[in-house]
Amino acid sequence: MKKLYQIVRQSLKAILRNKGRSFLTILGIIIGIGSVIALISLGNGVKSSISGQIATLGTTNLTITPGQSFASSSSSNSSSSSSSTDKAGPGAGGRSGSGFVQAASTLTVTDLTSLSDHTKHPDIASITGTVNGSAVFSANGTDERFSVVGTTPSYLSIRNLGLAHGRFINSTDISSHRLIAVAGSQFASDVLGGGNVVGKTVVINAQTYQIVGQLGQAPENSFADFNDQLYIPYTTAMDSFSTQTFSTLTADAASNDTVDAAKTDITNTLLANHKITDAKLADFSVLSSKDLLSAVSNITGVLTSLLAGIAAISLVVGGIGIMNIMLVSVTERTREIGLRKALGAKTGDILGQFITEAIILTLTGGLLGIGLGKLIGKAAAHFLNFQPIVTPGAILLAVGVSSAVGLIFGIYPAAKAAHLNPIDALRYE
Amino acid sequence: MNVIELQGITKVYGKGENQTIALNHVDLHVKEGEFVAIMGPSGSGKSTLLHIIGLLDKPSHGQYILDGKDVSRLSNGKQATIRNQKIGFVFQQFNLLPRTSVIDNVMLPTYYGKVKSPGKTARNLVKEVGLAGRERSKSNQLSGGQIQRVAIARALIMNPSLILADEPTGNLDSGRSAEIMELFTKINQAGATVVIITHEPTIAAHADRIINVKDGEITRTQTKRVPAKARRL
Repeated sequence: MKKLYQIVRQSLKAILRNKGRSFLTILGIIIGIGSVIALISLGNGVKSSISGQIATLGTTNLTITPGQSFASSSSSNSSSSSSSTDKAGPGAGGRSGSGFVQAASTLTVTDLTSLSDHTKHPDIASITGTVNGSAVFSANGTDERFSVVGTTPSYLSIRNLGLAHGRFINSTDISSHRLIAVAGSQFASDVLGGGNVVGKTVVINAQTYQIVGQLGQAPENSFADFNDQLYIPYTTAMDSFSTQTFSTLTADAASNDTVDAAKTDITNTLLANHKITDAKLADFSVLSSKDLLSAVSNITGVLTSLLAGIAAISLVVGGIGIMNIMLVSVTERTREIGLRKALGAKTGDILGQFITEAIILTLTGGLLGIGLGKLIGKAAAHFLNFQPIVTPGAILLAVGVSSAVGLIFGIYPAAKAAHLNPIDALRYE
Repeated sequence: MNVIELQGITKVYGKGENQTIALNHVDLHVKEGEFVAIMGPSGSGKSTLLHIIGLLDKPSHGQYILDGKDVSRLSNGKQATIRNQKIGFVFQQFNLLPRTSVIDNVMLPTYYGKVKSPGKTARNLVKEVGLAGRERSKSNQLSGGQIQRVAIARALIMNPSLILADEPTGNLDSGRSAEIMELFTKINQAGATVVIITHEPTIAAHADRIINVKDGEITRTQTKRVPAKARRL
């Protein structure tokens, strides 16, 4: 115990005796570790921010979009990936019955009704459809276009939305094609002047709608802004926008485990409804949050690897810095090693001192580096609007690598010097 | 009784054509409490001889009996312990830890071995060598004479029976040299065996016996007096 205390004391004195050199060593470690932690935490932050946004949409959600997966007459397009942004291309004018234009949706009220049968489709907890339209309203003095969503009562629960005032769309509203509307929180304050807007009215396509409910503030989401929209019964929306089909259907699987079963069930049901026998020819696509998550995590994974690669380079550069300073330090201190040996220090005493010095330096640098990394992450996040995430893994990696570099390159020359005859070390030039 | 007994000590550096024989079958006996000066031109092997006596270097051949025990074949660790406990060194240069206080330099050997109340002993020794009040001074703020005083205090802190000094006055003017030699004489009179290397006859004159070394061999030994006081190891 006393021995350890002596060694730590000797090491601390030696570190303080060479303040400049110690500071440079620590600086290398700080920069290496700081940059690794900053970059990795930013990468993780981006990933979790996107994943979080998907999660607020509901992890058991399945989005059914019309279009896609149509096959051209030449069958050259075998793509089965789902992306609703694909334009109707070469197949649009192809063989009759197999091609269709993207704009013309194929998701009908019959599809919604058949999928809503819970006894036939136990894996689907609930399902809703949306008719996406828009209308111009006067907001804060200027005319602005807002989304108008025609939907069903179950939309509220599937999208994890809450009511602030009044009620949401009910089944009577649907069956009676009533001219009622529910306002998103942002819509309520921008168009209707804020506060409790239940009872106010809005005009869409020359028809006056009564506001019966108002949503609470929904978390911000880059995939859909629920606050900025006006919600009306889908039947009313179909009348108003002159359409017979839904823009999308959104189903909620009974549980996380049944997402895939629900997806298969929906696909088969809709194929039957649409009288399509070959799944490749489906005129719709079903995308689960999981599909979306894995697509996103693929992208962010690449991003994080890229950042980690850059960070690794800076770690290596930092490591080389540590190595150089350690090498110079040991060379410069070979005579000190000789003197200590002449006065009775054993090889173990010398090694212990150098290891302790390296540990103190790398630990100090490591701690400061972690702090610096977090600070950089916070500063970057402040401008980028997401939270950086510092994982213990990132800290372990950064501290591990720099300590290993510091120890190996500090101890190897020290061990060599410690094994010298005392007189050879003393005479070292 | 002999503190140091060297029998047929040979030290060879290098190999083949580059081989140089630093010491050639040297026999040397030093008695307890003796003050011995080793003289010789540079390259004569006198430093190598002192380093072997101080266990800083290993002989190529021959036997070294220190205090009745053969130490030439001891492990590095055991030799380190002997250096720490029984031998005090004063070098010509590279003596002190840089940018380190006088007291910390004097206490350096106590980190590697046991000694009673090292702090108090160190302060007393600093006073004894005439540096009272400079305990906190850094080694780079000291003059050459003061540096050697610190080195002497450090050599004494483990209360060793053998003091070895390699040209301790080599960098000093004659006034400072005389003061340093006075200290060595005092140490010797207190009972320690002192072996000192020098090429200055005035310095060697302080010794009981002068050993001349040339080309790795002892050429002449002059005994001036028998040590008055001897101390057992």
